[in-house]
Amino acid sequence: MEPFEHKWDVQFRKGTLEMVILALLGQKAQFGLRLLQNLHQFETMKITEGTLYPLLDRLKREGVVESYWLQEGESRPRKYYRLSEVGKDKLDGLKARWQKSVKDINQLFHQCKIEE
Amino acid sequence: MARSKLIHNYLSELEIYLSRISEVQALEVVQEIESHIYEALSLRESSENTEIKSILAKLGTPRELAAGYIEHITIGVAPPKGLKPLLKFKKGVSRSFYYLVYTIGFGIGFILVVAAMLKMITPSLFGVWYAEHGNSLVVSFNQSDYSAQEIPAIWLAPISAMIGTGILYLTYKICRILKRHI
Repeated sequence: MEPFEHKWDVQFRKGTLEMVILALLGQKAQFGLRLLQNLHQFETMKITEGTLYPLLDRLKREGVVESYWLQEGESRPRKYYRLSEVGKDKLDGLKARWQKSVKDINQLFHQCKIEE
Repeated sequence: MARSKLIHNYLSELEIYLSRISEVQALEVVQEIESHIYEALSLRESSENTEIKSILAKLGTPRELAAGYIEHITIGVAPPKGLKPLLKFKKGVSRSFYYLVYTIGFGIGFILVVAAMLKMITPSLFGVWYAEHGNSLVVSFNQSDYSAQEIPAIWLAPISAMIGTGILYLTYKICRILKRHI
């Protein structure tokens, strides 16, 4: 990966990570490690554990996610996160904003192409 | 080092660095991280120390990880809306404090220096006298009360000039510091 690409990923994630996590939790409740595995499927979303856990804590403090402990069978108890009602609204808002941004940027690219 | 010892050390250190948040919250963070470490370990093929170390490395040092949790306390979250007038008020106070120090400091310093200069320019017209048998001091132009005794200028003028200059310098320094904070 080019250095500027890595830099771009870092910058871009700063703005989008919250939306991405809310979207994943919007599908179903998940614990930290599972969430991390889901993020790591994507090349541009490989965040570290040290970033994810404090971020989840912040989202919880802001009231967009809720957490609960769950023990299944013999396994160790896991801390699960799910979207709160506030979080659902926020996700809807962020998604709409995201789609608008993508549309705007694509239109801009399109215009530039025509002018070329 | 035994594997449980490595994990135990990491978690106890983490707990220490989390002392800025409440004990209940800190305990929950530690439990979650502990759960994560063992879960991640169970996914690995071996449980060698190198595996544990790599899991811990991804979390960052206990200090770095804790920093993420206490960031909102150390940096401070945006103040709630109601706090804004309070901040303005505080800012206003420090501004008026600045002008107060400025006025008093330069005022007193200036008067002392000018007094010293006046005494040197017009020795007979201006001076400091003991009045009422030493019960009070009078600073004035042309003291006409003959019962008063003048204090020799050879002492007073340099002292006054020195103190005055000192106060002017100190005020200048203090005001420079204050200005940075308003």
